[in-house]
Amino acid sequence: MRFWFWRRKKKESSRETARKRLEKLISTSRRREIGIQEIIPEDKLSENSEKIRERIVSWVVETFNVDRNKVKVEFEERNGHVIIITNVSLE
Amino acid sequence: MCVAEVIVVTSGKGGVGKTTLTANLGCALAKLGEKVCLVDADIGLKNLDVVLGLENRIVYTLIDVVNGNVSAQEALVRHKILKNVYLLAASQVATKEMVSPDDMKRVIKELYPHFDYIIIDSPAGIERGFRNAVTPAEKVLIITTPELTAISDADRVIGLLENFGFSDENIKIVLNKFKASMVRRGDMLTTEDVESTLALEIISVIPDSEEVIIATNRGIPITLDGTTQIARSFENLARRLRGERIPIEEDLLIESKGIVSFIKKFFSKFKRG
Repeated sequence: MRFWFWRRKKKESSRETARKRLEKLISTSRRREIGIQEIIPEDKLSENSEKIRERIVSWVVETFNVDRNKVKVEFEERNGHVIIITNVSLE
Repeated sequence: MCVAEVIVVTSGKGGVGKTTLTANLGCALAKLGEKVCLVDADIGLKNLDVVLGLENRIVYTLIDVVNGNVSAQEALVRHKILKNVYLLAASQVATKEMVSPDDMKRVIKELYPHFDYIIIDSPAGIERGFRNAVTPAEKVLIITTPELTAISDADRVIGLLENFGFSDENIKIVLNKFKASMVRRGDMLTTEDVESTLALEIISVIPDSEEVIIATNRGIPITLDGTTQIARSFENLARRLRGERIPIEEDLLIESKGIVSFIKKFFSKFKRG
């Protein structure tokens, strides 16, 4: 109980708050937008999905300088289109 | 015969200092002996002529060139003090939709052989005006302030630029309105914070300065007063663009608060009149 009024709670600096908010802001709208350069026919895609997966992983590893095990590539079919979802863990 | 390097100054967010940077960078390059053309791509909300103090000398604008009324060279206005700085002004009454990215490419191509540097002042936003400004450029300077809104908009713009095919080496960040005292107090994002967030190199840090307002009031770019810290920052940026290696710390040198500095400031007020 002694001198409780002397002990001030350490306040976070506004820079620190800004940094955290900025991280959140940017992470939800991260800028990497990659234009479609080629469209691969569906039959070719199913034949070579492993090859394509490997190409994507290699590209991501090189571009973001991350380990191979931090890259996850999944294929999904939506309305007749094949969607490739790539997750990269950057931490 | 010159072959110009085409640089666009953009930001995403408005009011961060695109026009001030364009005018002062142009003048700083001209002071180093380069022949510079400044192009105002902010059609409808033009300001570059005002910052340069040339608003009363505009006869033809970018729209006249696009419509084929005059050639690009005929539309240029020469700066009053720095004779190797030229301005291609924007029209106040036209709209951005009256110019296409291809029109801009054509206009810049016409100017290309006559200058060392062509600097395009982009409008705020990411719509047609932005695309017009960016299309003919080889290099991009993204100007931002150390604030959340400006940085997140800059990040969005970088994404668009990468989508347009710009590589990271050709996109550089200019950090404007930087207050070293606020950083020291822990109340402002540091250069490292901004650099790591945007994952691009900061090429220049420009301190916050009241002198910019005074210079705009007078219509004389601050670079022409070489004694101020901010003028030195613009000059450093110009030198870096020419390939000189100047550490970024040079921009962060804080003016001393000693008696000598006080006397200098006191007399500079008389000099300005």
